[in-house]
Amino acid sequence: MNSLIGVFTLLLTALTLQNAVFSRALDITPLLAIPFEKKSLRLFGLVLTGVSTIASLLAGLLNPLMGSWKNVQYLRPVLYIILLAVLYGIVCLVLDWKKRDWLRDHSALLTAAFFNCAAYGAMALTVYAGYNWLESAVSGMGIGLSFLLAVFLLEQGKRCMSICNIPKAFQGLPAELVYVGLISLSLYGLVGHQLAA
Amino acid sequence: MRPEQNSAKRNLRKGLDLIFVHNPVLITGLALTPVIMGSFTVKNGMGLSLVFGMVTIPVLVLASFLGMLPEKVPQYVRTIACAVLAAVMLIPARILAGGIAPNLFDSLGMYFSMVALNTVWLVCAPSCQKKKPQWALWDGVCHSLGFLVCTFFISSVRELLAYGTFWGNSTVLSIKFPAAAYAFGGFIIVGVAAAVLRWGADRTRDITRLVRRQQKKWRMGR
Repeated sequence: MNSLIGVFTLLLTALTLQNAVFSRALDITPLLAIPFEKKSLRLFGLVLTGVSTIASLLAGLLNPLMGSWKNVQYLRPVLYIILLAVLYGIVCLVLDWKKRDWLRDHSALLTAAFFNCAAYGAMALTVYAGYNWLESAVSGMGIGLSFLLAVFLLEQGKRCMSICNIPKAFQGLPAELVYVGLISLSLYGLVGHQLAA
Repeated sequence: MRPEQNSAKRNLRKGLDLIFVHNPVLITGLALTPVIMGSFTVKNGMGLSLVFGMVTIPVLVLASFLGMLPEKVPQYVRTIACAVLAAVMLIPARILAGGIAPNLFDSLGMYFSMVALNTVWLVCAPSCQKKKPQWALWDGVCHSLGFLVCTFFISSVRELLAYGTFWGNSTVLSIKFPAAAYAFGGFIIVGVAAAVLRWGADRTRDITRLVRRQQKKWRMGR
């Protein structure tokens, strides 16, 4: 029961207080800069959730095995990225065999979902936070879902910005960055941090 | 000979535009994570720029060589090769960046390694497959210079505001805004810097257009 509550708390924390986009700036580029359509961005979020869950689960399983290695802190990032590349290769191979048309249409989306800061960050956080395999998987899922939450919030923000009279220089990326910064600030206040004097 | 010279000129100018007018971070919005989370001191910013260059330049050159492979080789195999090279390049990059700031790797944590998965090479690698290796190298160098200019400016402002220092040395600035070093401060400062650069680029374009029009009028009058 306690572990269930712990897992739920971890998921809730990853979604809100330690939101991947607003608190850690992970995967901000696909959200703001890569011109995905609204539907594609949601699909990207779903694929990213799957990738970050599986990748962090694998990282959680691998971490105890790597613990005794020499200079492991320098080799770990390299291994994590190679692991992501292997996962990407397997998924592409299967899709190339079973659904070639889908792969051709969504290859850019799939590449961006595998090789991005959120998928890598989900793996790296398992080490920094000392998670076991279950916590790693839940934290990875939380990171993916928090991206979907950020997509929803940014859609609302863009809708509001479209009816405002924003100066020309601020239109688009600058205004969106400031908007994300303000949400990030509000989440920071919610945690109850105090700035150093 | 002439079309070749023209295309070389065009490529040179395109590359130079990447430093200011089409800055990869502030205008295109690529590789935002290291700038927002990592560039809160000038030392960190310079270290990140070095890592960025050491990862991006070889990957784009490799992409150009991979473009010479037969079409049978699927695109995802080429992407995997680029990702593996980016990961491997982190090892020499860490050693070199240690020369700028010995504790850079520890102070940046996971954000140091995230430079290997920057969106610049992900977006540019497919187009570099159609380019000659020397132009892919030029693209990589210009993207890295654009990233360097952006991180230097952002990290200088953030370090001055947050700690009142520059490259770790104290300055005359007595008022401190520690919030500038946090994630939300990074978002807002990068957003404002992007707007300032856009405004500057627009004004420069307007002035250039005006000067050209005046020159044309002057020639016609003569």
